[in-house]
Amino acid sequence: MHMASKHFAPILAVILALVCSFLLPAASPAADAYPTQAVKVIVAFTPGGTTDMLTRMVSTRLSEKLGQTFVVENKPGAGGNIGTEFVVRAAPDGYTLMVNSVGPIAVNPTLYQNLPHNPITDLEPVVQLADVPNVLVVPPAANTPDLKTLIAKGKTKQGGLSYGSTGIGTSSHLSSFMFAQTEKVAAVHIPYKGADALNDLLAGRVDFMFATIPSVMAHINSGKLVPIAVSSAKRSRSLPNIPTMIENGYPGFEAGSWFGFFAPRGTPRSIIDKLNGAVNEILKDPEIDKQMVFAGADPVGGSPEQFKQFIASEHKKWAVVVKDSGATAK
Amino acid sequence: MKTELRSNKDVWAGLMFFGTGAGAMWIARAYPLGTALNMGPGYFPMLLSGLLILVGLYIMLRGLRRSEAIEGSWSIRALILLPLSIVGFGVLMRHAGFVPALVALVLISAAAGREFKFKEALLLSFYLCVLSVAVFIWGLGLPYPLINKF
Amino acid sequence: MEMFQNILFGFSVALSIQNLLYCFLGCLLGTLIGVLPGIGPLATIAMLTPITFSLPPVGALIMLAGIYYGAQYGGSTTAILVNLPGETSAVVTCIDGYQMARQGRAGPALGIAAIGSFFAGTLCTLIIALFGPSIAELALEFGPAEYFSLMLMGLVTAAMLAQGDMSKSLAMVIVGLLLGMVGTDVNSGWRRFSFDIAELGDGIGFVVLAVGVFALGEIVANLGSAEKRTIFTSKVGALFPSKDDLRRSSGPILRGTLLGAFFGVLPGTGPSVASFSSYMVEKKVAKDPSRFGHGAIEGVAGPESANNADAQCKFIPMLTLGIPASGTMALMLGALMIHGIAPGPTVMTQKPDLFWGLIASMWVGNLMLVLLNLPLIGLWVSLLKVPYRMLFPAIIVFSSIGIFSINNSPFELYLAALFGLVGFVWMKFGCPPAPMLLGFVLGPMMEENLRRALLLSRGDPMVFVTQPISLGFLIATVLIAVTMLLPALRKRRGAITD
Repeated sequence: MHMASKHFAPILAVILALVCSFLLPAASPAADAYPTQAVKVIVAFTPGGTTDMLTRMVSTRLSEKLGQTFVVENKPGAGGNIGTEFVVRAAPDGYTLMVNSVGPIAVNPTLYQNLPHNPITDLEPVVQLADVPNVLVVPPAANTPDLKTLIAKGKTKQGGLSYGSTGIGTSSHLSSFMFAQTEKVAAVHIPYKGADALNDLLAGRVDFMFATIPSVMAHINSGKLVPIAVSSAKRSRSLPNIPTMIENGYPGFEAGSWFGFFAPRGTPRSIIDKLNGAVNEILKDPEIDKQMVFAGADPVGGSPEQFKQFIASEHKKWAVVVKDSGATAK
Repeated sequence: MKTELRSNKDVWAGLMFFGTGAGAMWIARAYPLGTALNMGPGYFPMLLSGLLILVGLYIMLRGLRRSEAIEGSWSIRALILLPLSIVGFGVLMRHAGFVPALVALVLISAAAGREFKFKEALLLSFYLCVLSVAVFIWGLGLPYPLINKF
Repeated sequence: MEMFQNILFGFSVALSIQNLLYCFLGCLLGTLIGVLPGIGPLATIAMLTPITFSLPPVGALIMLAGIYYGAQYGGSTTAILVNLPGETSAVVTCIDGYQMARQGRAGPALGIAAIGSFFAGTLCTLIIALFGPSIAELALEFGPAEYFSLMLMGLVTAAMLAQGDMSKSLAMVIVGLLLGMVGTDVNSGWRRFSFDIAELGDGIGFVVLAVGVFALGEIVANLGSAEKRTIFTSKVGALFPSKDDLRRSSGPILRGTLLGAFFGVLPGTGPSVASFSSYMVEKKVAKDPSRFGHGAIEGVAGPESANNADAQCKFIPMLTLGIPASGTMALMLGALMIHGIAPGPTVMTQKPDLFWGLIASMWVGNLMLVLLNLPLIGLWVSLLKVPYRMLFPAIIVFSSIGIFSINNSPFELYLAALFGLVGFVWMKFGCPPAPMLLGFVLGPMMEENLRRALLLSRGDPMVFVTQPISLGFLIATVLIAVTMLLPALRKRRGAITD
């Protein structure tokens, strides 16, 4: 009996130590313990869009990996500004994150007058998720299967070319504007609400459009639309045979959508690193990789610093294009 | 029989339309008008508010000749309490959580009725809370905290 | 013959135990969210999409589709019972469906809605199977000019929604058109009538407006009228439509289905345009149009069939042209792409199990829905026996949660409360809300397409008459206007000669 208790004491101590080691970190805000409760991931757009789809794809995996539910919450409105504003004002404790895109982060600060926040300084970049390049497409009946013929048509056609877009100030609009400006082709902008532009493009009422790859992939495959060039720096993995605009002789012509994780300013660095590591691992998963490429997105990943630098350059680039195009949201 | 002006349905309706049209026109004056073949953002609003002013005037004048009285009471109690309960729900959803917001919503809106009994309303709020949490939070997975931490 | 084999093949896919289960789950969930206002198929499908990644593509799509058209069934239930439109398309059903319920005929109204929807679902399954790919091309014939002329025709016919007072209905249409202007102008980026409120930048939500004006306005009115304390308990009446009801409804159901199928093929027509059109057509062809608005069963049968047909046929442009007609359709398109399936004309030959399986499952799903909904009628109607003092807070609870969930923000609630007040005032002043909602639906589409057509033609108004389809609609518009004005003119002349 006596002997037994002597032996038990150290075992008890080990058990106690183990229990404490499980309990203690929970009490401190250290990153090893994060997350200890459900994490909100805000999407500043309606359910079903590309941002929403990518977010849900990755959030499901994050929940499995980090052991807490990552709940996706849509707060759409005002071109993504409402959701962004919400996260800017949220507590920087790692329990409110957001997946945001080129629009609210890099374009809206120039496009919108009196934006109440500055997404560049008020948000902490965590990791870039994916690039979704735009592809320049034309209807086959137009007989303009390459840039040369399209430009030639623009110089001769009465009234100039018409191009569709998914809305004023979207990357779809600004890409076309950049193209027409460089070539000095007369081109009239026909804005649509999101994907509505497809109908008139397929019917040949508009001459060309820069569209996100997923939205026109099906039509490219069936030959109803002809892809001319993609607007990313490298060729897209979804359309490996289509050259980039840069290859076509437009240096620096990079104009696509991109998506990434953000946290409110002041979120502990340890939490950001933990999330960054987890997302980078998820992006390497072949299953996720396959799903993203099917959806027309090229997974990116990388460190928070790389993302921050990328955002700064994007912000600078779009500020010039938005001002040149004269687009504003009054 | 002539109705009094202050309960004349058509005069009030006409006045309302006239006011709406005039207000809309006042706001829309800031928007670029454009031309009929190249319309600006102000073209349609201007056209429509102008039309509304005219129709409003017509209804008002007609009301002066052929008068119809507004029927029924104005149910001031419900008119104040119902919108209040909904606005309160919105505020509490943001700051207090799903369950407190629901309880307040049921109690205040139930108080808008003439046959309001506090105990019964309390019981009703309990049942509706259980049902709503089951359907909306657990069933449909809406991402709202039941009670906020302060 | 080949078509017959295809359909048989489709049924062999749809009737596997697994797919039947997915279909049933989808329909059940769809009915539930259809009943709840604000919570629409879009948010539900978005939430479920990650789950469907791990399902086989056919099963996933069958389930998502079930949610989508199941919601159309469920949406009418609360519209009829308590004037609360559960889905956008159910707004029209409020007009006569709710009046039927007040007369103790909620059972027949719910029954005819289910039967009409089932008939529409059946016929549309056939239409898609027989003509799907060939009529899909029709969608491409419709450009901005055609859409504008079509909307204009709709607006002129809006006078048919008028009950008695023509000038007030006209004023309400204009109010609706103005409300539709709220938000960012697509063509210029100007935010109109938004009072610098960011939330108004995307305009007023249809559900917010409809729930405010119909459901909340009605509750305020009910609480105000002293004599109707326990409004529904006195009369509950028959549970199912009588022979006479069925006879009256057969025409409206058939016409509604065809109209719905037509609008379904056109991706550019928003929701509820089909049901509004059906309602106006039924009122026009009725022997006694004055019954409409006072519980005419035709006003339920037609629009309900039309909206289900519309929902079902929206799959045609989605599957065969890859053009999503709504956010929900875009989401299903996305789900397909993640499974590596590219929608388009090739989907039929490359993925026959998916195409025909889905089509067969739609019919199976519609059958499930009607079997699910008919027995539920008894339960729904008995709900009306709940004393009103307990029923109305429940209505407010479900509306409020639903409206909050639209954007997860309280702003829409404030707006709905405001429209509840305004709706009550309109009721007091004898101004009908239905024409306002039609204006609200048609207005933005009309302005957008008019300005777009003129942009594309570089300011040449002749586009509207040189395009044959557009010209056809314009001629029809003039004819409709003349036939509506003629009786009035004749009456006036008669009065003078007398």
